[in-house]
Amino acid sequence: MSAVADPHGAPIVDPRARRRRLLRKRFLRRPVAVAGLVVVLGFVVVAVFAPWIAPHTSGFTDFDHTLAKPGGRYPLGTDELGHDELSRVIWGARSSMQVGVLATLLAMAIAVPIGMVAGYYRGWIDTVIARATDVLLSFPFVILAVGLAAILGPSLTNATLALGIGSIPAFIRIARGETLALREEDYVPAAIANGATDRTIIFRHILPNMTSTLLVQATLTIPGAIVGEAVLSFLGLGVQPPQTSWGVMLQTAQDYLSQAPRLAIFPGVALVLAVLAFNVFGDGLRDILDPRTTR
Amino acid sequence: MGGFLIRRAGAALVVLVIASMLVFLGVRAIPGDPAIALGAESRDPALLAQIRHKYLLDRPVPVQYGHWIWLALHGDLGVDQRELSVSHTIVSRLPITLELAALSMLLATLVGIPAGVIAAVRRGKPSDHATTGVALVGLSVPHFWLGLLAIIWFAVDLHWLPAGGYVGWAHPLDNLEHMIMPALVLSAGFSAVLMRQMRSSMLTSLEADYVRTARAKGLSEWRVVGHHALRNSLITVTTVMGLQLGALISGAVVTETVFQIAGFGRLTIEAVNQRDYTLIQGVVLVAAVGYVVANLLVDVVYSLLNPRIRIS
Repeated sequence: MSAVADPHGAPIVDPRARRRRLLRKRFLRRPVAVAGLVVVLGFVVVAVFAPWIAPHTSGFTDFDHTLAKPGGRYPLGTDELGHDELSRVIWGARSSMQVGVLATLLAMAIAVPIGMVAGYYRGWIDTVIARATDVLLSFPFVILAVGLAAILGPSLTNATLALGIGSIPAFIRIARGETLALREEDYVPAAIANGATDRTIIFRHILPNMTSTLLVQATLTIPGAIVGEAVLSFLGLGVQPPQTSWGVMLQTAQDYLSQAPRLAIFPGVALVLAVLAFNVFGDGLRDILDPRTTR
Repeated sequence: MGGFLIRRAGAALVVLVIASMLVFLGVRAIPGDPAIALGAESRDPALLAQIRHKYLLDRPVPVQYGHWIWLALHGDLGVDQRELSVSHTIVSRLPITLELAALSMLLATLVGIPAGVIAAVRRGKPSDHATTGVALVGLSVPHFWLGLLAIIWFAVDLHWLPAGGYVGWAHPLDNLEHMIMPALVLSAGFSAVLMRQMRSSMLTSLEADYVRTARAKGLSEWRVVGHHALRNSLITVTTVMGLQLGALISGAVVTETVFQIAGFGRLTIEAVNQRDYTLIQGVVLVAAVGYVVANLLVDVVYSLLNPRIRIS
């Protein structure tokens, strides 16, 4: 990128560009992780462009062709109400990606500042935050999400909120732990000597140094939230018909397991594929960003 | 040792007290008059006044909380919308879930630990790649979909096993026939986690000095792996088991729904769907208590296995 020559003629490569190139090279050496990234991008494209890609709207019904076999007009067949399965799977990707990304962003936006304050100031505020995190972690994730969904009422937005809140404790732990370690780095006293305020140190010096850890945690939180949405919708506590999601489709498929098992297969395959892709991509990302785990 | 235990138990107690407050306040955050909910949706003012008095709803919130906890400590979690004792309902449903959880933990241990050891010992060979790959898939397949697949294959297509339901212990064979499929489904993710953890801690152990010493002494590979490396790796795995308990409880909720088993997990969903606040409150409290106590037990076992923890 920015290769300028120093007075002696040797090229000085911007260290950031060099690191980026090194990471790209390390990443490309992991075919599984690359495949994961490709599939993730595929799902994102499908989710974003669902209205143009899907042959039908998610509410489309063809009552003359209910439970139709795959083929012809309906490549994946239709369900008990004559919904086109293919379109529903595509629209479902939109719900899943939306919940996965938004819940993760919500959790990060709330948890990272809290965790950083705890790790930076330590003392009583750290004790309070760490204990509160323990309490939140004392509820199993699904119980917490189910409880929150019960309080908020079932809908896509509330499922996102519930799953986002449910993911907060893990992010607080990570942000706190990273801050505890990073505040001991030499650049922190240097910044203090320069007259930097606490806010500058936290956001300009510590936060950029933990982005890779947060990024890895985010890539691994998204699939958790995607499964969480499917579970909540499957239990009737998430997305409500006529809006659709893979969880909703699997819930209705449950009543037709003997007549039309394919109704349970297609959304499930999409769900597993998306989750698997995020997981292998996240694993690969962790491996290249943190050389310690490379074994 | 004693000091460590007291400190751990104290911390667990604090967590439980705050968790119970959250449950209590959370249920009160649900819109609607709890007196009406407790009175099975009755609008009779005399009855509501009586309920308010009985459950101290006319008193300040801290008093209400104290009263609730006092009764809970005596095993009384109130009555649900159908006037049934919440404690009785929970006690009758809990054994079913515990059986399911115990059976899946057993299956997961039987599969996950040997698989992890094999993968570590045969690192980089095809059997390692195969087990690691299967574990990754096992982690990514949600319980409820695996359950649906199992029903399609083993119940609908092959007619080998019943598609769902529960039969009591009075008929052990029938009971096992109904439980084996849900337990297998629930154990899938757990054995994958165990396998991965076992593999990575075995890899660390196999590179440790004491393993080299054992090899240098001329011990058989079987003894080196089984006796020296395995023992130390099992310590880490104990912690993972504790951390997985939450996932096990969450998984039970879903698995019981798929297989129509009237256990504790199914009860949770019923309570939420019926908006039965007393029941929700009781169920979530019991789940949190069980989870915290189980984690405490794991910590105790862990400190018994690994003396270094007690000192720090």
